Amino acid sequence: VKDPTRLREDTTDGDAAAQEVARLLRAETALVPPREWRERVREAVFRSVEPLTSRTGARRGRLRRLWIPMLALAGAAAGASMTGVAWWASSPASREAHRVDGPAAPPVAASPARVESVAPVPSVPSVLEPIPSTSTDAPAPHATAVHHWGTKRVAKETPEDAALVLGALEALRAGDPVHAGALVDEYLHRLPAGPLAEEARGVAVDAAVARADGSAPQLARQYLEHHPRGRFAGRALDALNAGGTR
Amino acid sequence: MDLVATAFPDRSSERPGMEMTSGREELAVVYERHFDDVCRWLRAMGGPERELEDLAQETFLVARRKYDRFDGRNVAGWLYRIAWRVMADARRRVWLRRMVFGGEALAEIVDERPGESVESFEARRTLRLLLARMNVERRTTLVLFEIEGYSTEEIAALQGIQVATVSTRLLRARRELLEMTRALRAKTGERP
Repeated sequence: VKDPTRLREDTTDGDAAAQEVARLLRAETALVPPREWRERVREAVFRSVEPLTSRTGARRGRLRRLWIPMLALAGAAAGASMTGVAWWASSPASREAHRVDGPAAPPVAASPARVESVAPVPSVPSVLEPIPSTSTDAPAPHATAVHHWGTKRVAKETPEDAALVLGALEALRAGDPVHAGALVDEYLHRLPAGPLAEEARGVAVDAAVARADGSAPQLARQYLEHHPRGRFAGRALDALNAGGTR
Repeated sequence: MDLVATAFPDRSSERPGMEMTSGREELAVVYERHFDDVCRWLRAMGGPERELEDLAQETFLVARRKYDRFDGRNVAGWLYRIAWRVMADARRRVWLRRMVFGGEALAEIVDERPGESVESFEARRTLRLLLARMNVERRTTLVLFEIEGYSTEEIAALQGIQVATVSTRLLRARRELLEMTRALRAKTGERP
């Protein structure tokens, strides 16, 4: 069976819409991945030497379990979205002071009514405000999970996992960076490549900056290694350059 | 090749169907042969260009994990199925992140290319938005055929389906794209 002529190569006169489709398709070209992608991915894939083990057991029952976590996750995400909006909208002044990624957005009033009317959700919650710790205790030992880029795994997230990151945000906002750090550590330990891993690493940097225990540069370095063009890269660079003593 | 040798012990004797010459280099050969293809498939499935490198990495990491259970037949089809699942996970990640923290939908992520004209950028953006409204299987088939230049036979082998099914998907995808373009033109009264 002969393949049909590709629309982008079709020279017959169609109607205006058909010509428009051809124009749109011609604007896109076949992908030629840059050489550096190939080299970087090769390095990441082949430098990992974890043993090749059967994951049949882990996969068993996957389909059967698919719908329940999805429904639970949808509910948790809907609630979490409101929490995120409320957090973001609650202190525009301090975020404005730390904004690193472009022109300032108009301030958002913090009243509950206004928060509900914020739509859509701000596209880049670019900064996590560092709040000085009010605790008088010595900082607790901060166990940092090191997750190698080459060994990241694809895992499923539960609502509890998402709650860890949101809890960390709230703890940070409430002035408890030690607890915030512990929560995101727990998240990254469970899901080093999870859906909110980037946010978790961003919160970890901010929590470390707030704790001022000297761990911020290392965490910032980890963030940049995982997400060199991530939404918190500016914050991480700041923490790295400031040596974590901001 | 030391890294490859450590990560992939020689299993050539267990894979009589594998056409590669040396077991320990099998996946390295697969990688070199199919890396560009995997990136193309991922983009056709809706992956934004800025994420393709990470998605390709994830695909090959999964391939590495599953290597010992791979029967050696239809390497491209095997990788394609892995890429498909990786992309499904990525869609879910983006959705969750968007719900919790806000941000762009997958279809809205279009990066300007160096030296690209505004017109070309806008056309690519419009195309991406239109394609995002399509069924994923149809959209992928359409992009693989129309943009990446795969034949219907190649697509059928990748997707593990009949050539006739590919043709049907392609026909419907074209029709759908045409209808969406017409609707958009009617709405805007000019070019989409």
